[in-house]
Amino acid sequence: MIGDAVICPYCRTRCSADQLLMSCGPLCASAPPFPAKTLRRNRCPHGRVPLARRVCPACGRAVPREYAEAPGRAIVVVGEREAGKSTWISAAVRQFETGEAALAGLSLHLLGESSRNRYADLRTPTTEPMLMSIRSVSAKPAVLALYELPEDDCPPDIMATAAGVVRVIDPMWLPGVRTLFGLEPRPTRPAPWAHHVPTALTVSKLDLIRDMFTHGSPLRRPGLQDRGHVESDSLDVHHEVEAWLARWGGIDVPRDHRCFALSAADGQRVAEPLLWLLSRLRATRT
Amino acid sequence: MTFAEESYVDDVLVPVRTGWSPHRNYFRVYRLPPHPRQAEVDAALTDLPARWGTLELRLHAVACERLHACHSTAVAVLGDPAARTRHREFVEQEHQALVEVVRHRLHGAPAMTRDDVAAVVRVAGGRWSTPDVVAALDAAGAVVREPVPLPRIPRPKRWPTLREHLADLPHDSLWEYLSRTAELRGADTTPAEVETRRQRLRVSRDRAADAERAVLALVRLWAATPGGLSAALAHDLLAALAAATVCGYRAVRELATPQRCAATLSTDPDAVAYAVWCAREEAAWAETYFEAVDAHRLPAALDVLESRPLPESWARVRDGLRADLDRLRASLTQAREAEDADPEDAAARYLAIGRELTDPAVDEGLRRCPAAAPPAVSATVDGAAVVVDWQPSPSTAGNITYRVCRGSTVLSEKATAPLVDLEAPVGLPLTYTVTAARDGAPGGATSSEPVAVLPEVTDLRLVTEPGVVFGQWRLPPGALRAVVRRTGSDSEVPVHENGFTDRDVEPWTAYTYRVLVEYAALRSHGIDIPVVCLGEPDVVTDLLAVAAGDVVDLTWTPPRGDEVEIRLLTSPEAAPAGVVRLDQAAVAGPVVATSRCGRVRVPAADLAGGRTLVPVTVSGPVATIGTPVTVDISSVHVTGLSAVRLGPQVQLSWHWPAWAREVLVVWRHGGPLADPADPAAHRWRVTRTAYLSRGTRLNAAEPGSHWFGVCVVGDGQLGPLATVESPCPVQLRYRLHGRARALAVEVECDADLPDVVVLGKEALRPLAPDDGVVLATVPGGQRAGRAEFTVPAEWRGPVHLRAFALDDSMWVCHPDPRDLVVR
Repeated sequence: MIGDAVICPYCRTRCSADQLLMSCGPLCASAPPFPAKTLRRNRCPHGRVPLARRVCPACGRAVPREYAEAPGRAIVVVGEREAGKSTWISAAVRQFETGEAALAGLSLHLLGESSRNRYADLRTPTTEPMLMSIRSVSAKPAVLALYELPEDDCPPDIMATAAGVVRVIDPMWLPGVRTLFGLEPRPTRPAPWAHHVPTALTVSKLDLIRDMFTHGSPLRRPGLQDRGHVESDSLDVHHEVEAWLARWGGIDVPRDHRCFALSAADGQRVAEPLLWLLSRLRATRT
Repeated sequence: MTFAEESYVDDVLVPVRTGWSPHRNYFRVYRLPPHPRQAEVDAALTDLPARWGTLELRLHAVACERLHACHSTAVAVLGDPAARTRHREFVEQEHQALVEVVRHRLHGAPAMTRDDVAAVVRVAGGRWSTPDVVAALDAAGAVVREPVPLPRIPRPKRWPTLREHLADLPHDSLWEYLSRTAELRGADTTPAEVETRRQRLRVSRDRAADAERAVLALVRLWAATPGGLSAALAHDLLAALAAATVCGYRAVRELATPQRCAATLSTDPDAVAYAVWCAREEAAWAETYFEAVDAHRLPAALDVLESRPLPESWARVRDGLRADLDRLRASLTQAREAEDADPEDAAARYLAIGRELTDPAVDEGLRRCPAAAPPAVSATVDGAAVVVDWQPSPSTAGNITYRVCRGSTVLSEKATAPLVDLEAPVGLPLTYTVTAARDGAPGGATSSEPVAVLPEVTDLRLVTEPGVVFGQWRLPPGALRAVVRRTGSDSEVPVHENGFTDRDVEPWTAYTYRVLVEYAALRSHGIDIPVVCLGEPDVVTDLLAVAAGDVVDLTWTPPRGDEVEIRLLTSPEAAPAGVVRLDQAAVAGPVVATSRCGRVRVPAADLAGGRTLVPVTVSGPVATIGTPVTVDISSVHVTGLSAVRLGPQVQLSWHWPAWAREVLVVWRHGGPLADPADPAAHRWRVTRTAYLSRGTRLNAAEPGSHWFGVCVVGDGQLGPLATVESPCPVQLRYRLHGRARALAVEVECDADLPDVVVLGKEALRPLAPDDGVVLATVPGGQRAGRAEFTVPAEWRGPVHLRAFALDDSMWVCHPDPRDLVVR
């Protein structure tokens, strides 16, 4: 939501919150939907309590109430094919639901049937967003629309509305790592999108390359996810990963970025990119 | 005037001798012009009689005497002007008649050959002489002229086919087709242009298109050889001109267009037309001759040539043909003489002659020298087919083929063995005969031993139930019935249409049934099939199920019965006791394994979390449910236990065995774990859910070895302990302090320090001891050390600092990352 404006997470149509359509309850037989602004004392035109669900006037899909009322932000997760995008999303959600991030007082709720279905089938490529609400103690919930997109096929309208980007990087694609593993070099290509929003450059599959780091490296330490976003630890990881990415090559670094590394298989530092973005978006306490 | 004796003989003496009356033309006898002066007459009347007695003309004495006898009359006629005039008028009438004859024979032609002139003279029986004919030709506007020689062009291959296809096209000749069709260029048409035209016709589907495609195929054939297409067009032109001769010379001349003649024969069209006109008679019999030669009927071809006077070129052909025929007849005689001594040689000679000459003697000779029979013939039954094989005939001359017969039925004629008879009748004795043939002439034959196709029953299936054996099958086509015999029984088992039911059997006894097929004349060999007659199934009471890793080993004493099904007991209350129908036993639970040998291994995953198994002994349609057991999981253990050091922590991971819901994690520092009850060890129970949610991390920051163990907690017992070791390196701590770019580093360690270096690097953090500029070095050997250094002022932007121990086994603990950046 920008000001009063709500961007439909499905069709990206911008409208005011008052323009979202509401429906009458079962007692008002077959009454057409009506704009929210026509509510009178929270009553429908028939004087009864309406249904809570709101509908986008353009595409007709239900917009969850939390999304319509809270400042919903679009987070785009991009990366090459099989870079680990789906695996990271799945591990991150689990981390918030039952893992260490939950110990930091954060909780995550998927909004709407569509998001729950999306979470249950992350393997199917789609531009369907996963809407989630992340709540923390003594703070308003942050509502995110998470889009998982292939790096070379991002719909411009989604990128235009993105508030943050998580760019997932498979280290096995990077030239320096491939040379180290004796693999054939792969052509590198610049990122098709110049991200002008906070971008989390996230190296995935850390468990595959962990032995490359010295004992003192932060990449051989567990994260501090149980304390939420810890800036000093995040900065330590950022300096370390940034130096490694420069050595491995093949990555264009955007201006506003923070580097991360994680292992979804081990649950190591999985929630950190999302915690940083929430911090940057001032959605949680640091 | 000179006297030409030779022409006088031809023009006067020979006709007079052969019966021509000199009174018919005194001008001719006395060599006078039509209007002679009196002096010329007198001179001729005096001079000629004197010549009749000369030595040169004495050979024609009869004619000369006849002339002498007529001389007095001639003097009277020629000497009297009035009589001479009347005689001239008579001669003039003769000339006019000859002019008409000549015009008729010319048929519009501009000339006549010398042979034609001679023919007119010859046919006229002396009535007209050669000068008369020449004069008549002149009067008819023609001359005596010989034709230019035309090239003898053989008929192109498949020429009749072209004529047939042109009939379906709007063109009368190949020339017209090639000249008037788009994309083709007459005599200059190339194979590529032909192909282009063929491609264009691909989409057309009518009779004309089919015909044109066939014509193009022929054109491509001819155009592929140098000069081939020109020769075909020349033949096309000459054949058309020859056909036009029946309509007269004018028709021939009109057909011989300049373009066509120039493109095909490079000759003047008048000359071509006249040459074809002159050869019109030759064309008629030449066609007959060539047909005979093409068919190797050389005697007929020779007859054609010998039956008419021939020009010299054809006379040479005739003589050559006669010599060839004599040679071939001599070869026939030699072949006939070789028949008794060496029939193969004789046959080879006959075949060689036959390639040049069509003669009944050749066929008769080949019949007298037949191909030898195949040395051996075998017939083998293969299913419903019979494979007939034979050894080749020793004869080699000519094309040896083999005719294969089943009885009197001819199956095939082929060059090589074997032959598969797929339509052999079933149930009958069959004999196969193979006859060798030389170029189609039948020779010796050999027969196989009799065989019979006796298909067995199909889909044979025996089913046993306690005290009874059932059999089922399908009879093959042509069979009368099936016959069943059983071991231990002298008589046949009674059968119904497609099966039997044998109740005369003992439970748990092995039998062998033989099923034969009876045909009208024979019986098949039969199919043997063993079976053990079932009895009532025994109950299994000693099933043992032990989990081992990801599998469960099941053992029991094999009972008497068909097989034992191991079922996952999901409905204990529904499992009936005693011998029941198989479908009643199925309610106990799903089958997870089946075995006859009393031992089977089942993946634990197949049990879907269930642990209670029940053995069901199956015997045909009945079963007995045995004693259920619970899988023993006391010996299951985790696999793949590994420890990953993450700084001060160690992350443990392992594979959970089936059924395990909880494990006990134990760990200690300084020594290996003896057992889960090790008093020096720490303990922590971890549920599967907690493991999957958060993983398992333990603090293990003390330097030295740490030992970790995991054992499954199940049924109140602890399973075997899996252990893993993870050493913790010695920690080295340092911190930086100072102002601006003048800094100091202080290092301390729990053990003696190794050498420590402080690196600096612009923009990026140093990652290894060689990844930056050494700004300071703290020598080792002590528990603590200090060094001061200055960051070069010329370094711009953020400068990253980092200390490294020159000993990889050390664990360097870095200070706050913000203290490691100098701006």
